[in-house]
Amino acid sequence: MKPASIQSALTRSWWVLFPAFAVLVARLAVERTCGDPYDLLAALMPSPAIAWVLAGIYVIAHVWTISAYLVSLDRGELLPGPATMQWGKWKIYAMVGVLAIEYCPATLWRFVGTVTGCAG
Amino acid sequence: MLHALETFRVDVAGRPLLLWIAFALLTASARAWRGSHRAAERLSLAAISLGSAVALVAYIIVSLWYATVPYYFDSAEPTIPSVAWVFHAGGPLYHTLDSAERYAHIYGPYAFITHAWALSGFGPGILASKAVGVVAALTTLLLIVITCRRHTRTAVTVGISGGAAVFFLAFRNYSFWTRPDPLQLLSTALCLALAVWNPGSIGFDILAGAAAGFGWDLRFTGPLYTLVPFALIGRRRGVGPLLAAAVVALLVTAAPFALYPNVSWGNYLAWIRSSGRTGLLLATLRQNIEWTLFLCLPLLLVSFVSVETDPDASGEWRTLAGLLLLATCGIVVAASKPGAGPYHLLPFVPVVAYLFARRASALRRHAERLPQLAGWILVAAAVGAAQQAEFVTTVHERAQIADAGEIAEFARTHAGAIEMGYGSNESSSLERPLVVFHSGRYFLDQPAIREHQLQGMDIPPATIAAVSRCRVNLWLVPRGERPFSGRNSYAAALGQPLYSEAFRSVFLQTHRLVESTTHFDVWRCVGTGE
Repeated sequence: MKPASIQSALTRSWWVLFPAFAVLVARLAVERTCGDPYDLLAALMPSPAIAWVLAGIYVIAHVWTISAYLVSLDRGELLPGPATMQWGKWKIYAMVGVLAIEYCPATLWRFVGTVTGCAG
Repeated sequence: MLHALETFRVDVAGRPLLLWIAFALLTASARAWRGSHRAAERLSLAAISLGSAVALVAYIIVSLWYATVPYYFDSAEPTIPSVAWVFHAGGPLYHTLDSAERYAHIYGPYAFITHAWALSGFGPGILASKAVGVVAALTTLLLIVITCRRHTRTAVTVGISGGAAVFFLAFRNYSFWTRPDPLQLLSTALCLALAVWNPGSIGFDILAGAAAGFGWDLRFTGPLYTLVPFALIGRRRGVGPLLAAAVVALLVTAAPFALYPNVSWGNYLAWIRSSGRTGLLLATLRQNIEWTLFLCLPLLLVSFVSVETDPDASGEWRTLAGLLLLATCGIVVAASKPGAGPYHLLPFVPVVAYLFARRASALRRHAERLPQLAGWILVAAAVGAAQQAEFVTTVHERAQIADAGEIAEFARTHAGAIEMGYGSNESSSLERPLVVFHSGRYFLDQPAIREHQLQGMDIPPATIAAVSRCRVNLWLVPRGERPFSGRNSYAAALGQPLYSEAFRSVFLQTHRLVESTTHFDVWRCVGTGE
């Protein structure tokens, strides 16, 4: 696959992937803040069909970000710069932003939970 | 020191990627401030050389030491030799879903058969069962050396093998424990080595297929681990040899079901289907992704270097790296099932080491990447040191209890069917294979019961009936603990009693505490007639 076709696939898939991933991460952040951080989406994840779909969204979002990074490397940019921004625009940064929220330390979510009074 | 390592292990050892990012930011800031690039590169090279050499020696010492201690570390380890000995004695490897016995797992037949061969060859014992994993792990390390040496210098090969060793150390004893993981590692490493060293012989293709088939059998995700070696066979040898290797792999995978009457394909499938009902854990999924990214980080570093300096970087290497990404995605999701985790990535280590070896020379032209690589080694070494400290102290403490001789002596001097029971603490029942080696029978495996409960299966009526009818005459239950009072430790069933009220009340009605040894209470079955 040529970088141009990968780039095109990444641009198109973003519109489907990003909203789903953002909603999932938002829900997980709420659960980490107010619920059990070790048993996330406890009502949905025991169902194999739903679990595999959610896990698929989660994993593909990571693959999307790595692929976008490799495309930017291919264009000689260590970090997404002008050449990448021509195609990626704000899509890469939006995805990285959501990933940054997802990878926040659990203690931060517990702190927010304690402050807001929703932590069990 | 031990306390500090334990705090580190509990709080941050599970986040290697974040640790590496913190390290990379720190070193980048330090270099920007001091501006001494050459000194940083020299220091990094020293850290990589020293770290990998120490890790290599430490891994060999720790694994050999574990092989000489006649006690298990993990609660799931005794299962394999116990079931293996039942198989050796002619018992079923996979009983039916509703049978009285409760010891079936979803590992493929070779996970048990390999141990059965070792136990029958060297005599049934804990050391013989542990030797299987340790020999497989050390052979894997040797195969990594052999495979990488094909593409790089000896010094770099030693460095890469040290990198593999330090990653193994970060997973306590998982790469050499008494479970299928060391065998899965060996299968991948052997298949890869044969694919890499093939001088153009169909014999090598067939052997590579046989090695892969052994691994395909161990877990249903097995084919994903050999995706890269198979792609290598396909690219270098063509479609014919690839098909030959695949056919041999399938034959080797299926062989135990065809050759052994006590290995039931139907029952195995039923357990696999049942296991499919457990869903996934998102917390484990994120952990798996973090560890995957950390494992593949060295590849990302050399892939970046290659793109800049090597116009051929888009060839075979990229195809193989792409397939590795695909395979890891599959494992990342499958290993999010309750009870699984990032250790399922271990069989990818030989593949990552091989791909890294093929591009390692590019780092000579890009020494500025060395601090990031040194960061990888140091983070893995820090996690490894913390994990090993916990592992070694736990095994050392277990060895001080010295209950193995007592169990073997009891089994030898008492008549009737004897089984090891469970109390509230499973670690007191880890030496139960000693009883199985004596009787050739195994009734209740608590790790299996824990898994079955997760799949929605409670103890069936047949088991309760067998308990009440004195199928087992004497139970050894950890002293002072309430019999069968354990609770499930999986998140989806956390805290649920492992044994139903019906089971426990039948046990208490039909059994009497008749004596106590140093470490165990002896419960004798008196049946319903008393």
